[in-house]
Amino acid sequence: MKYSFFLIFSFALAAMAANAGRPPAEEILLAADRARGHFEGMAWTVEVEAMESGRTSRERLGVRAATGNLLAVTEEPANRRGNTLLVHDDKVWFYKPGLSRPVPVSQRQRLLGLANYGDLASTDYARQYRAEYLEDAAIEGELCYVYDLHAIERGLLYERIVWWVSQERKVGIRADYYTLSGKLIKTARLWYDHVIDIDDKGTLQLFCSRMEITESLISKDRTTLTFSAPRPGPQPPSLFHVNRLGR
Amino acid sequence: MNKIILACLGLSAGIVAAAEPSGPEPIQLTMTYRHLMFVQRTWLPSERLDVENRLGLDRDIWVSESRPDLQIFRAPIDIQMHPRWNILYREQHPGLDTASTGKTEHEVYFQTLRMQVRGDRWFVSGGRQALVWGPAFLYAPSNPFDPYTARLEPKAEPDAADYLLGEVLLTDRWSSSLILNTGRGRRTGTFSEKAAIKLDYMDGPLHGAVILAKASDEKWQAGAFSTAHLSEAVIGYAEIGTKDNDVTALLGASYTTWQRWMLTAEYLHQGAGTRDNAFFGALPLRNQDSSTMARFISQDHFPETFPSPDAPTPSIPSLEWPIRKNYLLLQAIYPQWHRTFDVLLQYVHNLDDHSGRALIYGEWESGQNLRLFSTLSAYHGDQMTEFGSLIAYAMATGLMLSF
Repeated sequence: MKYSFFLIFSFALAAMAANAGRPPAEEILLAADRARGHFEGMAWTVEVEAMESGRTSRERLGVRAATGNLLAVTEEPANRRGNTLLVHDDKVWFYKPGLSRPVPVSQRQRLLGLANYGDLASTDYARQYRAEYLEDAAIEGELCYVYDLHAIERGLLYERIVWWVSQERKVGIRADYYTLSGKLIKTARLWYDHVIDIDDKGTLQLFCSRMEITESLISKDRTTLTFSAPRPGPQPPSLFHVNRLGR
Repeated sequence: MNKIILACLGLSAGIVAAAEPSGPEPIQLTMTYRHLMFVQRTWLPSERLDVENRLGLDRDIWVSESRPDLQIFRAPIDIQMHPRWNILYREQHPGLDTASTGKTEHEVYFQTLRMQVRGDRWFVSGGRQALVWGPAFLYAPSNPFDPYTARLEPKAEPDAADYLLGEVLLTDRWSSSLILNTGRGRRTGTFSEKAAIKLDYMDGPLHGAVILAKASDEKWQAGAFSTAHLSEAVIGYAEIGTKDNDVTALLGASYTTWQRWMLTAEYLHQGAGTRDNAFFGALPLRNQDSSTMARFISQDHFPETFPSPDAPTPSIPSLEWPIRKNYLLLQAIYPQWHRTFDVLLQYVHNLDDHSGRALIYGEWESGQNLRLFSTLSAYHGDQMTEFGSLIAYAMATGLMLSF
């Protein structure tokens, strides 16, 4: 009993020492969420390119988003033009011309290639996940805080995410996504080449410019989402109402 | 309908003038064009109800349909115009009406012609449009205007009618709509002008609505539906509608696997059942006019099918058509197989007469502008059942060009 207490105390002390000097996880996750579009209002364009079994297909979407809600309309190719995706409180509706009305769909549905509908939406990891620290690691020489994120809310696309956040830039640069059973679904690598003035007062914010998704590190199949520079601006709340789709 | 559109135009011009003293915004013009072409063949069952083909069932049809969609938007006005032009060539199965076979017909109409004036938290619209809601594939009992969803027939567009519609976003969760059905539009069957109030709730995993409707010559109708995202993969839904003390209810759920299969099951129950409607005796792409079919199979309306005294006596002396009351739908969708191929497997079963329709539908995306599709339906059931009485098989293949 005495030894058990000593062991637990030692582990707790070691964990505290390991976390000492690290900023609170919530603060870092919030900063990383902002770089993935968690703003009051924003519009941008996404080019999706999927390479599977040696073949390539592309899709371009116009996206408007506000505080976690998102409306994405396919602009190209002509075959899918007008297809519309609404994400409201993490719930997804799909509408396409000729369809009688929007239908509720799972976030698991694929947009193109390895990209799921849920990958288009901005992230809100700070609120939706409980973070556990893992050992710091470097990706291409960039030192990162590594978090093991476990879903707090029900109905999230990914039950568990291992999230690498750059210590210097406070942006997430790699994510490993897992199912409830612990199976690795896919891995994403993210780049941030956009810098935007979010309030016209010189408050600069990095914004995701590219996301590359692979099923595994050895797979040649990959899907790349290229984000245009976002245009900050208010988006009316009615834009994100399911009754407005197709009307 | 023209009066409604003119009234809306006048109203919107006033709103624009009042709202934008600083100068006009540029007009956004968006146009897409789709062209649908397909051929369809049907095979009749060996023991069928309509032995003389009084319904005029087509053996072969060739369809060419232009579907341009035009949108003109200048805040706060949004005008949608979806004219349609279809050319149809038909060869009928041998029957009484030999004059109808080998005919080419064409039709020009508006699927949508409506104008909307919208603000941040409200919109009003008037004109022709299809007003369909709810999550169900089979049937939407909560919709007092048109419960047919058109989701059992790939490539079919729902019949549009004329509406005046206003909606206000009361809070971020609640919205309220007032809907007036001002004209039958392209719908067939009985029609009466109707007004409805719809209250929508949308928050977190729940989306639902309650609807109250009244026509001048009918009792109040009530309806409701609810969709719940039970997890990131499971969506459950329920829908209910009442009319003349009869309750129609639908329960459904869908599950999406990580391998992207979307599996759906639905159960529909109509309290009193009906003999007057052909619920789902539909061809996969080109539906036989359901009102014609309803008259044919209904004893109550039998004389209407043969109004002329010279018409031959019906060869079906007494129709004991089964009451259509309980249905089951099972469906699997696999999108983007090898990125270019969508597959739909669907089965609709009449639980009362144990007949059904199985459908396989595949759509292949070839390049940026072309989609090729093919579908095969197989009907089963004996001579006096809903699905087994008229058609044995139907097959169709075609293409859709998009620009």
